[in-house]
Amino acid sequence: MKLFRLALASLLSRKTNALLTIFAIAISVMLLLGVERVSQQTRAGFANTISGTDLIVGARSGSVNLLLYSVFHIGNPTANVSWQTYERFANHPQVAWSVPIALGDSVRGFPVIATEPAYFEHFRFAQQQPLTFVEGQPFAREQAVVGAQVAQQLGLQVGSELVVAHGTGSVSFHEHDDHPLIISGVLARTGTPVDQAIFISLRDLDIMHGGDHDHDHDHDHEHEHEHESHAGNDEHGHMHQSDEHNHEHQHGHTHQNHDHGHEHSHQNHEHEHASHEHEHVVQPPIPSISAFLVGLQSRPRAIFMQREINTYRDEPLTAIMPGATLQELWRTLSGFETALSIVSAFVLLTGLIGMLATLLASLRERRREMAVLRAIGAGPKTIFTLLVSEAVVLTAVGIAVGVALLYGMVAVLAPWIQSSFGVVVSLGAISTEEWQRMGIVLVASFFISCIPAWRAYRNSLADGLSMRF
Amino acid sequence: MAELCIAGQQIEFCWPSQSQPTLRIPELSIRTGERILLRGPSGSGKSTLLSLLAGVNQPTSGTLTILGTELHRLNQRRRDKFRADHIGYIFQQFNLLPYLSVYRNVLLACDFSAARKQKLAAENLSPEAECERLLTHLNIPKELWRRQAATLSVGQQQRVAVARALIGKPELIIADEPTSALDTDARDNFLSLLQDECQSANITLVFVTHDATLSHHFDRTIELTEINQTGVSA
Repeated sequence: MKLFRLALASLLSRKTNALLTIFAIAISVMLLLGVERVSQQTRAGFANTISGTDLIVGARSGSVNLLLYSVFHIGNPTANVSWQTYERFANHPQVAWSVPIALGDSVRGFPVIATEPAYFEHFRFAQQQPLTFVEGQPFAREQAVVGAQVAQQLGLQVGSELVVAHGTGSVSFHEHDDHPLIISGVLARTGTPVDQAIFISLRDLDIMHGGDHDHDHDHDHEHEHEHESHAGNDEHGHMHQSDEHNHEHQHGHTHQNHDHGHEHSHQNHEHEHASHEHEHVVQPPIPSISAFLVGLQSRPRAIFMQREINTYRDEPLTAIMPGATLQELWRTLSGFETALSIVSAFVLLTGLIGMLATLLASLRERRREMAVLRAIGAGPKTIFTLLVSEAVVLTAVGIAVGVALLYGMVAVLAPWIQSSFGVVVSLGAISTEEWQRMGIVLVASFFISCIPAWRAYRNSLADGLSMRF
Repeated sequence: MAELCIAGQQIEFCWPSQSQPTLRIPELSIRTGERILLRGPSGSGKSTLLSLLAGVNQPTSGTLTILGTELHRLNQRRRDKFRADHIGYIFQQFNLLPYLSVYRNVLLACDFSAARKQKLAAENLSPEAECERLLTHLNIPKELWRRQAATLSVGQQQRVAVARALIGKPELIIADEPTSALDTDARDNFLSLLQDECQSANITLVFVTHDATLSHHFDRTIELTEINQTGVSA
């Protein structure tokens, strides 16, 4: 222990070098652990985002794309599913339950999901955990339910007003000022994209986007009125969208949930006609949806049901099994993860080489110190130990600082990572794997420090007690 | 007094990289308690002889017995321990670890040697008490004790080095030109303090210098050029 104190005192006398070395190691350790932590938690978060849903169905597209927009609320559907098709599958004998969702709007960057109150009943995350309400209840018309993160960040509670905007960016093209929604409920935190979501009814979404009003609804009159003023306000900023709109229009789809604009006000007339034709028994709340979640009577039948949906003739559809697609998505990301790991390993190597260079450079100025220690009886092995323990102390402190930096970074950046990527990076305890990585760093530093230590050992044998300056 | 502190026969030493031996000393004997001035010009093999005496190197051939112990019979580790326990070594300069306090520098000798601590304990002295006594006796002002060694003057540093060499009363002190960096006053002061301490504790002193004017301070002067027979080639 006396030797250790000596190493420490010697180290402190070379503070600047020591601090720089520690800093270099700390940063590389932070990166090494950070990359691991983010990918671990992303993986866990991925697996936990959805469960209990057997199939997700959307318009024909890539399965990963469908998963991304339906579950992670990232990106937009390329096309929509008509309400008729949804109804057809909702009434399929194999289907136990189904929940439609329509996307495309946002509030200050938080995605708006138009759905039915049944969503809260059927959606499961992690190990079959249902969504629970911290306060309030599922939405009714002109109400909204918000995820935990949304409530926290926008300071919302039951009874608050919320204005929904079109588009998914933080800066939206247009705010539906004329449709403030009342918060009916706040969900408990789940650690999934649900925390960032705002849930409203399909009908409200449609009306916001200028869809026709159900005439038998008692709010009808009001809405008509609001709608006119809404259309009038639309003059600005909607030219960007006209291309897209025309395109959609050519496809002859009914109403796209996210298209929008004053052209609608001109089309209202046609639309009304069209919807009236589609009204068989009940009027659909919205002409088309982005996707729908399906729970089956018998889970093993999912593969057959998937095929049936994928080969459905009336409309091109894609059905995915969320678990399988999550894995597929993870595989695409794992290359990126590997690349990050390699980069951080090289950063670590750089840190260790920096330490090696510093130790080697210090040997020359420390030859006198070594000679003094030899004179009072320190053997070459003591000199060796001294240098190795110095390196190990530097690395250990570097690791500790690195972990502190990591936690600091996580604490500062976690909310941003969560809101930007939907990945929850928690300040959890250090995992076994992280301990392992730190252990590897420490062992690596031990071996690397043997190089200068060996040289000092040789020097002390060759120099004896003579001081060669 | 007939007991020998250092006894060497047919000592030969050759650095591995050289073909000619640096030292060839047929006989060397220094009695216990003797204060020897070992004189020789630079290049005469002084440092080499000191490294043999200190047990850092061992003779290529011949025997060297110090305090009754044949050093070549000990392995590297035990020779290092032997040095820590029985020999105080003073360099020309830079004796102290600059980052430790004066006090810690002196105690360092005890840290590396249990024998020195035991010797002090036998006299009912703690290393700290002995350290304080030595520093006081060597005229190191008390306010300097807690200072970093690097802040002291060269003369003060050399005296602290003496304290470190002396703590725990080793049998042999080897001083390698310790006064070469000192002015005359400081040198005389240093010498008399060193002599006093060695005398009172009956410590053998081997003092190396190239300065012949110091010989009157010592019991005996050994001219290295006279005893080293490689002088033929030098």
